Amino acid sequence: MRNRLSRMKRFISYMICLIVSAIAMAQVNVTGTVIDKEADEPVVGASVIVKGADGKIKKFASSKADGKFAMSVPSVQGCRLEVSMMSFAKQSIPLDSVKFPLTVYLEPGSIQLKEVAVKADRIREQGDTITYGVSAFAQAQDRSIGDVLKRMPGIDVAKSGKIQYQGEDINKFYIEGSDLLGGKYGIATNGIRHEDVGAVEVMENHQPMQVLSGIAFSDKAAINLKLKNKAKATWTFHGDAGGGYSWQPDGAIWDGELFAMAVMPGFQNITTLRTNNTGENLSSSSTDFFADRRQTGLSRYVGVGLPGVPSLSDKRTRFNRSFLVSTNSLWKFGRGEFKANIDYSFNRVTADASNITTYFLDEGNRVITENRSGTEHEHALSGKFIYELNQKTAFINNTLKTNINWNDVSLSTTGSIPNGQTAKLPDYYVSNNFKIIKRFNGNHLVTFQSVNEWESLPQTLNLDMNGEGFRQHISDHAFYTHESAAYAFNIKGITVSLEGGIKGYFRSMDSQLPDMPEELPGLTENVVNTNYLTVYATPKLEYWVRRVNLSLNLPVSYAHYTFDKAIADHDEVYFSPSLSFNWKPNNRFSGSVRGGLGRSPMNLNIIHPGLIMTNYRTLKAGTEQFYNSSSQNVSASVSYKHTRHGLFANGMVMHSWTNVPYTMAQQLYGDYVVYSYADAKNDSKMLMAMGNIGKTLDFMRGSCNINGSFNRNESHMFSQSQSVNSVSTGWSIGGKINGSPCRWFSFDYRIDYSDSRLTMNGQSESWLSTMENELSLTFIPHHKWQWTVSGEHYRNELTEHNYKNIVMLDTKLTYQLNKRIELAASLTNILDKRSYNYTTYSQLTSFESQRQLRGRQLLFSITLRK
Amino acid sequence: MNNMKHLFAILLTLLVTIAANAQQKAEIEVSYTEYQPNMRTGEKNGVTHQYILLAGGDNSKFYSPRTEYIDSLNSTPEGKAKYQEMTRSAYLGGKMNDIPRADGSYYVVKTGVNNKFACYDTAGTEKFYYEEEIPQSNWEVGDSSKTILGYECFTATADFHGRKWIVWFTPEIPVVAGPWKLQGAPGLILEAATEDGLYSFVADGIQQTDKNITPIYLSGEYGKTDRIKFFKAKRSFFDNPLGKINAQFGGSGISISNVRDKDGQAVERIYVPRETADFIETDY
Repeated sequence: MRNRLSRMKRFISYMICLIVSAIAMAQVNVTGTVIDKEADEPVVGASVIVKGADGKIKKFASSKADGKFAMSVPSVQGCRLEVSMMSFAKQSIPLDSVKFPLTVYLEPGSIQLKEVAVKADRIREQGDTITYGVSAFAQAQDRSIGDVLKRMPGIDVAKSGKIQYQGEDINKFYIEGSDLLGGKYGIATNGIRHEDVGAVEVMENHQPMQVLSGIAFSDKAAINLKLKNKAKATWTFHGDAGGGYSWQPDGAIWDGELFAMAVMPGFQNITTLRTNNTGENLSSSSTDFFADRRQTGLSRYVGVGLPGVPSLSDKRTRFNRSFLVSTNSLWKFGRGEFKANIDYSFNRVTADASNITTYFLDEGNRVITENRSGTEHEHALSGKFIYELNQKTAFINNTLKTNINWNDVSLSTTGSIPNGQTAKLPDYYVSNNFKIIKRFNGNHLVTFQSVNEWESLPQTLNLDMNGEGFRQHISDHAFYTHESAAYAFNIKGITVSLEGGIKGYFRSMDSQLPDMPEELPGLTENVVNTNYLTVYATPKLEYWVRRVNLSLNLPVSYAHYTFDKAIADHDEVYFSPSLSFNWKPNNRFSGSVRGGLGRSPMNLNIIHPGLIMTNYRTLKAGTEQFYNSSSQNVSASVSYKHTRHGLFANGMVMHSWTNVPYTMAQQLYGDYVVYSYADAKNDSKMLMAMGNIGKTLDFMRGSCNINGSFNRNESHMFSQSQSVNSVSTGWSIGGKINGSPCRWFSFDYRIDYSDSRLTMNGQSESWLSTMENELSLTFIPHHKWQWTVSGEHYRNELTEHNYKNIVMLDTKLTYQLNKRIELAASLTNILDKRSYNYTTYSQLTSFESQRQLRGRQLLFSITLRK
Repeated sequence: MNNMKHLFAILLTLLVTIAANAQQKAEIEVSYTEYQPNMRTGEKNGVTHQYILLAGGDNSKFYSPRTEYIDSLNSTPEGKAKYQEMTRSAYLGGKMNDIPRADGSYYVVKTGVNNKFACYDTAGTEKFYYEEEIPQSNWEVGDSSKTILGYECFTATADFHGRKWIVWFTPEIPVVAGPWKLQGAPGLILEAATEDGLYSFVADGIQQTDKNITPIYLSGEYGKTDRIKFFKAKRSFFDNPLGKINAQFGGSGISISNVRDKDGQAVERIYVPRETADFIETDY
């Protein structure tokens, strides 16, 4: 019995053992190795998951240093093994009938992330510097850094390419902290690819001259591009070449660009070459946005130009052949730097237009119809050579600048006065500006500056009318010199400075127009010298206390004018005080109020005894009087930002009053219009207000913007011995939104609406509105393919409730062959709209124009990058 | 001569290795908000910090970008001068908000090859550094799922350094990483919270990146210790901060006698006791 029991026990324990081992046997060891198929090497850190038939995770592991993984699961029935890793394509293997250990090969592939911008990266703020992460704002269709800048709230890029921050023009554009391009930063914004830029920094209240920091206040901001490491210390290149066919103008089209950039610690260079005949305006790449007004003060008398189109984008209206080459270098040596910017551009633009001009006169309107067809050739060569030393205790800058332009315009007109005009309008300009500032004992500043400018602006107008030929030649030269010295010191937040100097100006102009029709009154020859010598002093007081900056300017000058017999000499004293007040209670809000008043001399170019022809129909009679005008202005501006919420807002109001003791009058002699100047009390008032709000839309990686403006100009004008009171009123509102709500789609939308009205002597014209809508949709069905459909809708009110609508549609398909090569095909103006009509009003005329548009065009292009 | 060559070869290899290590690139960048109790009041979610996770391969770095910015400034004499200038001008200008301030205090750097975390943190006024073996992942994957930032996430739980953590990870992003020292789930951890809700991390941004995982600035200033000693030191500071400060700086003539609250009453304890709210790790 006992024996049996013990045998039984033994049997049971046996059985238990068996069952237990059977259970143990049922455990499946899922083991294997993960191998990179291309490199034939083990993959470390791959995620290995056993998923049940229900899709749930049963077990997981990651591959070790030798690529091996091991897990045990009760059963692999219906299970799948998923092996994945970033930058490899996911592998999914059914486990029902496989033998372990497994070898899993991973092939390169990308896991497309649904990106949600890393918040800390989109906009950051540190003190006075705001940093925008470029990748957080870029959309798939963006190419250059300029495309992305437009999307950053607080930053505004005008059509011309000029950048504003919170409603104010920026004062410097840096690349990695160096000011390579000066005001021609359009070369960078149009040329640098956004992938090469890590971040855009905005430095508020930027004082570019270190020597002035803490002494002179700046309310302007500067922009600095922080490049990615891959774009630094090496040359980067990219190029585009495109060719195709256009339906109007009928023929072949091209569009090409080459861009090279080096950003190294001691050397920077940007060289670009661009050419096209597709209507793209290259002037945004060659305009100096920081250029001061030339003190030579010359302006062309001859006004033969091609008609412009106010409200359509250039690519619709420009019939051009353009070429631009620009090379810009910066060398740092010692503590200074030397820069050379050399540009050459060529533009040939043609335009055809039918114009109907109506002159509003008291005895009835006068209508002149003309068809114009013209060609303009412009060659421009410019060079700028700068040496600069920018230190805390000393600032030295010498800038030598030359600009040479050759403009030839030919214009033939048919209609009531058929004629042909050709004008040769070259411009030669040289200037040198030397400035030295020295800071000593911490708070004392001494400045010397010497500016010398010379300009020659000869103008030749040939006119062929009714079989007769006229030729007018004008030569106009000016030399300007300005020497100044200043001393400033700062005690307890108060900066007191005194600048004094002398300015000399010597100009001679002569014009001849022999054989003028006899119906014109007066001489058509002029010999004029307009010279002056000015001594001036500018006391300046700046007061800084905590969050307030107060600045008072009291410039006073004495000027002696001589006109070499044309009119009597004059001695004048000018005093133009101005006051500004800036308040920044915290980092988010800033407000300022400015006001000023003063007296200033007239434009000396209008002093000439005889007539000068502007174009075949207009002449200008100068004045033999010396006038001074006076003006007052007040303005207030506010700005607010909340960087963490991506909110930027600014607003501005300005009111100004101007009193000019003369007015321009127009007189008709037969078919000729003669503008002359007459004594009059001419008062004008201007009110202008504008506002702008921008906000990031993080949920779709986008941003939006709303802006509005209002302006009202009231002035008295003298026409045919009668006083005219005219008021022009206008307002506008606009909005922009862009975003990328999902991985495969992004959009851009813009709307602008404006309304304006002219009232003369209490009689109001009707309000005339224009509206413009622009929409662009980009689809990314696959990461190599991109398809954009875009279009604009314009609605212009020609006369009251009479609208002209036009829709333009474009499309573009892009294929990314590899990291280096991209192919694209674009079709512009699909609907092949070829004409556009519009009406504009100036003070005393209406102008109706029928213009040609660029027709449909097909362009294939290839982009290469290094 | 031959020796020279050898030396060169060794140096070169060394340099290349260093360069290769330094070039460790991240593949993804994730931003998290960390919620933790206010240690002065014990208030839940009283303090938040912004952190960034850079992860690539089996390496990662978890850091607070504002703290790193200040540390980067302080790592060079010019940067230090700039930092002091920024602080000074903000202070003189009365713009207290502009004074650059550090955010979250710690850095966690994971190197997969060594299977180690390197942790940098401060305990009171002292900076410490310790290494820690990356623990075996014992995440228990649960059944529930939810969507975070557009990714399907699964839940998993595990006990870790004295607290029970509930995390949400997404297998769609096969990166074995997460906030702080939380990792090892089969996918990126996008959300994590302790069972009592005292500590939590929530991802609020994610993007692809090619940034380098750079070493810690000023790493030489951190004194080497181990994890337990670090938390003990931190606890002892929190229990008697004034004593610690006076002991450290007393010799230089600085001593703080007591701290008063806004009503002028002397404060007995500056920080809440361990029982009210303990650190993120409690097993010290």
